[in-house]
Amino acid sequence: MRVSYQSILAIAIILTSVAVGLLASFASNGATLYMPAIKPNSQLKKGAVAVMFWSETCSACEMMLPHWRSIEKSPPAGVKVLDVPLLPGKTDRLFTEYRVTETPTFLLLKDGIVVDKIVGAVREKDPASYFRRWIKFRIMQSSPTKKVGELEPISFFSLPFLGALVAFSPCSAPIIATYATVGRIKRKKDYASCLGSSFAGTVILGSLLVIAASFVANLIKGLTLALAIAAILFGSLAIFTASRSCPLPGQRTRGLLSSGLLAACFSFGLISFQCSLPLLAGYVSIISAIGSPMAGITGISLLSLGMAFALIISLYLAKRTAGAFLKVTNNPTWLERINGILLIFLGIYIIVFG
Amino acid sequence: MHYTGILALAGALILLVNIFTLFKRRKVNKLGILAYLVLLVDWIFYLIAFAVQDYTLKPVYETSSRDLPLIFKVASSWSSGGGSLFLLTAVLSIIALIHGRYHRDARLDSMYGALILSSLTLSFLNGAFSSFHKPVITGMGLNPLLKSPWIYPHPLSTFTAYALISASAVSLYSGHWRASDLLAKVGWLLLTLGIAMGGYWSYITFGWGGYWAWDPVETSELTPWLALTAVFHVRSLDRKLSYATHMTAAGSVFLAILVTRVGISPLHSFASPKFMTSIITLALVTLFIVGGIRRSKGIGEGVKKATSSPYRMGLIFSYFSLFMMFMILFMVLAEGSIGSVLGMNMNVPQMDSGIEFFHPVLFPFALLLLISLPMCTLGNKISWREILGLLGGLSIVSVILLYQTFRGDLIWSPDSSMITNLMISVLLPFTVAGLFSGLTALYIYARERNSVMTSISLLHAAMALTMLGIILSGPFAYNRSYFKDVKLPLGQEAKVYDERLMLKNYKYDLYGGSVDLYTPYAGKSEIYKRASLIMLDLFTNTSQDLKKYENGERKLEESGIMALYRYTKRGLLLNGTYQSTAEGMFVNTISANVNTSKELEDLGSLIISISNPLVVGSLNTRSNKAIFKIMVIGNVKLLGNISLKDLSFTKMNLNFSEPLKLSLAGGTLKVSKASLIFFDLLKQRRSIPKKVDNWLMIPNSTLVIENGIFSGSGSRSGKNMNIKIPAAIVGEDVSLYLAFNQRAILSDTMKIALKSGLANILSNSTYISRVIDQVLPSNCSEIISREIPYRCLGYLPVPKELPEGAKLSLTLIANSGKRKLEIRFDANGEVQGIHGLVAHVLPVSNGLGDTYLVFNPPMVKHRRWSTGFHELMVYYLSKSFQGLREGQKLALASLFTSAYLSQTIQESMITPYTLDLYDLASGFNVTNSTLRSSGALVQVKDVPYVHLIWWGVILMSLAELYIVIAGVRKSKKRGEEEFNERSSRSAS
Repeated sequence: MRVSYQSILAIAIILTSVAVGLLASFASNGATLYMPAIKPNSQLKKGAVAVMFWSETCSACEMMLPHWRSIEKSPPAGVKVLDVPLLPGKTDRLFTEYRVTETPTFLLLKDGIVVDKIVGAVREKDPASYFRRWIKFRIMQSSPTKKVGELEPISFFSLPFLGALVAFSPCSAPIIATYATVGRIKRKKDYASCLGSSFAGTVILGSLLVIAASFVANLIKGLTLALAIAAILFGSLAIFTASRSCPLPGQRTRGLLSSGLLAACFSFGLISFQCSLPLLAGYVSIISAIGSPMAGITGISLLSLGMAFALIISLYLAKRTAGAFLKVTNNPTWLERINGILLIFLGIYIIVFG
Repeated sequence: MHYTGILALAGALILLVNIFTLFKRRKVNKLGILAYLVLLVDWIFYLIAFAVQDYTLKPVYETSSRDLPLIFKVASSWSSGGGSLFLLTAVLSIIALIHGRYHRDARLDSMYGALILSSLTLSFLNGAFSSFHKPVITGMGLNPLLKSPWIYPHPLSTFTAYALISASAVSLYSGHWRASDLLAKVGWLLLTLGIAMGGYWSYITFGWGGYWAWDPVETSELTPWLALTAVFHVRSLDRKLSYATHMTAAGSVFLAILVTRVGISPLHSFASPKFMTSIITLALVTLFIVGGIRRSKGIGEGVKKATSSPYRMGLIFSYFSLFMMFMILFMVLAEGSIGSVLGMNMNVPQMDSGIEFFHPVLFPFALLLLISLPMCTLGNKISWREILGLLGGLSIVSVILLYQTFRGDLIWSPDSSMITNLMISVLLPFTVAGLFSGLTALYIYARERNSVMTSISLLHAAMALTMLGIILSGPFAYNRSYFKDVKLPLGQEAKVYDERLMLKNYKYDLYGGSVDLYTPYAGKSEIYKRASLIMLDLFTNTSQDLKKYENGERKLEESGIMALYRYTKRGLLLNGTYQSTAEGMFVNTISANVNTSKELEDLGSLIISISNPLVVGSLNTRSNKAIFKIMVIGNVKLLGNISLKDLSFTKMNLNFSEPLKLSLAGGTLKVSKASLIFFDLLKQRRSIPKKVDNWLMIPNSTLVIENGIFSGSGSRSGKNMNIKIPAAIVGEDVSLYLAFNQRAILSDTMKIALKSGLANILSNSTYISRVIDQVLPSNCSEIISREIPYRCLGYLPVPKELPEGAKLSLTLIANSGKRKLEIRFDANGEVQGIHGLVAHVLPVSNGLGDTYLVFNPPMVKHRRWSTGFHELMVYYLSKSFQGLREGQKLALASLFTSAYLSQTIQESMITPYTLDLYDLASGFNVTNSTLRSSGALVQVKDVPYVHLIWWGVILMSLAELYIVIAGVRKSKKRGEEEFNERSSRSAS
């Protein structure tokens, strides 16, 4: 009975994550519903913008405004410099949106997102040149905005690495180890065919995910958040319970062990998505799919490739160092805990920087 | 006393006798049943008195009216302070009757008796049976907001719940804990429904979108709910603790009753019956709590043993958090009501201050409650480690969302404070997890075919759903700032979010019968007092001003200058060389020059200083023929041999021995003769001089230049010129005329007063004295001075019978088809000062939330200075005006202006507004309604996820209902088993 409660709990956790993720993303959409005054003001939403919020009643603003205006006249290259006075009924919504509660407040925006913020007057001898340095430095420091539908160069390294993590996931590694040691792999050719079939398995499932993601494009933000939250919840659960967070029912394991090589590797490619780490894989594939299915497919392929090679390596290792490998994989408690911590960090990373 | 009161007294006497006999013989007799029946019969008589409008019963007169539909006549019986307590008495009698059939127990019976007796005493003290002997045609009417079908379910369920909860505590005290449990469960169900229906009623009626505002009465209804909920969580762990909490819950019911009675308003004294009310309610609160504590030996022992499973820990957590929330609310309310009974100025947090106070204070306990939710629902099924894993993960998610919100990346409600947004971020993950853990438990128990546990799981999931709805919709529902104004002109489509609306048709109508807006209020209500001041102002100041205004106009006309005046008014000088500041037509550099000592013929040396001068007047310089006057309006200060007594005049002639030099734009004005008029042109009343540090201050006076020479270079050719300023037309009348014409509000007032109807009565001295006689009672009529004694105010020549109200029916085409709306204006509500306009609220579902539409009548605004009046009131007055004399019309206009405008409006504005309303109403024509031009006024906002609350409450109630039914069946079964056992034993 215990196992069945656990899977029900897992479903509850996934539902919780999806609900929180979607609600949070809807909330941000809903909040903007009430900012009609800002929406047409695309000046602040596009590119790099430095903006000073001020009001007529503050003396610090009076002091700073001439310096700021001098930058407005000759702005640094690629940066728009603006100032927004507090005008009730006109600009106060902008103050609300950017959470400006004190004047003067200087904001650096990149595509509408706040990069840096100075509140109050600056006590420099030459405020104008200080502002200039500040703008240049901060804008340079913030990474170039990612274009829609393109993979970042870093993904070409990170995706295969993440794929490898999938292969070594504590819930699937033991099966592979067992599989290898029972002697299914005999020749070198077997490695190649296993590589191909597991790759195919992962790519097929990943592509399905990518296609599915394109159907729910407007939910992407929420689903991404949901995946991140699920990663955190499962990670936390993994740390505390330290039992197998991905219960592969015994029968299926036995079926896997008795099946042929190609089928086994193929289904391994499929099954690896059922474990907790594949949430990560799902995340990557969905994120890559925003805007362009091609980028999504490339991403998922890179991931699968990483996983397939890692699988082969582990198979090889399992065969060669059978005893040691089994020792590690059959006592997966500490692997689970590390896995849990990794998942939590991953979730946090996705929410904060994703 | 009214006859229903005599019957109630009889019931009370029987009850008393019964209690004494019970104490003596300790055996139940039929007297109790007789008393309950007498009270019930009396209550039916009481309802009948309302149904037939028996005005000798004071509450009937105060809360009902002749032409009210029957259902509202009956319902108004519990809309008064005393009547609602009599309802409580009646419900308690019913419960006592039914309970008495099952348990014939002397102790229980006497406790019920005491409870009913105190409730009855409270209704007596609150005037449920007061009689009334003035001959009246109709009553004061029901509060317009209460004229809704919700007047039945919300108060009835709330008061039944109160009765059930106190009955359950009484049963518990008498040792019938199974009966007490049943009563408490039904009470909890009804209280949940009562609170929710109250919220829903407010949501769909008040027109601001809120369902909760921490109003003390709402808060007081929540207190017993929290305590009772806490009882249910601790019952299986610690009987003693549960007992004490249960008693406290019942005590808080009486605190709720007290809070409703004292109103927590600043003015309360010892002498009022409120004092006795509070003594009795507070005594009951104390008795219950003491009763709970008396048997509390060994309290908490059950809790100490309970740390073993997550389920038990969850129960303790939820008990603790619920009880703490209860205590906080209880303390705040107790402090507020006791303080206000003692005559202190208490400020119980409510509305905005309630949110600022209660939300952060309750937040940690709400969080703990949500944390305990998965422990309670799943705690028996999963292990500690899994619980900790889940809660740990949720905490991390909460912290990250908190950080996101703090950074401004995640905004739940842009118009709410940062604190609110942060709290939502923390609570949301736990709430959603609570919802799904409840559903998980539901699934598990449903598979196990454990129907009671399934319902309990459903109850908890539904509670989480309600909480989720509150978290997500609350800020949007509460904040008015989300409203957008949309105008809906006749026959044009307007898009409001996703809703397409078109106003197809409109219709104005009077409704109901007639109400007496005079008898209950005259001489008493603040609104009447203010209205009578307006009337006095109209017939003294305004009529005098009107005379001067007419005179001034005539003088200007006769002197031949009027044509020039009109010419210059059209803008010659406004665009001319001298118009260089926004303030006046000349540059104001006056104070420097005027601030010189000048010889005065009769008063000796004077220093004149004018601060904030506003120079008005015009000077035609183009033709080099200056024939006009100049005035300097400002706060005049005089220093010299002059006293307040010297200022018994309104005009002071100044002859300067040495010309006074005024620097004006483009030149200098040398003044040899001027006059000071102590006339408050802005306030339209005589200014009151004050003596401060030897200076005589005369605010808002006018320095009229009567004779002088202007030299400057203002002409187009740039030549210097000298212009003589003649004194020919100067005088108080003319200056008033000119000054009034400077300000639209004053000139419009005069123009309205000059219209045919009004000019006659305002300048007819016999008519004026007749009106003043009507407005001021006979013993006050000789005092027409600045200070009219307060007791003399508040009488108006208004007709005794007026239409009850007016309604505006709108036919609307919406997405969902044709809709008919009705906006009401209730004259009685307006005059009572609670505003008579009941806007039509139309929440249109958009998935899980509502597009919240509030339909208001359009504003009629003909004059720039006036904010105008809503058209429904204008229509109502235009109908009421029919067949009235002008004086009565003016009185009505004063009354409704006084009621409509808040106290914050400047006193000097009220009379012009009154004349504006009078003019609008006399000239109103339905076919020219503003609805045609600018359309109906629709306020719109989006209230997301609000349906979750209603669904959550419905599911909670259904689950609780099932639990109650299952409990009854179980105890019946047990009773049968016991019976069978007993009979078989006796047979053997």
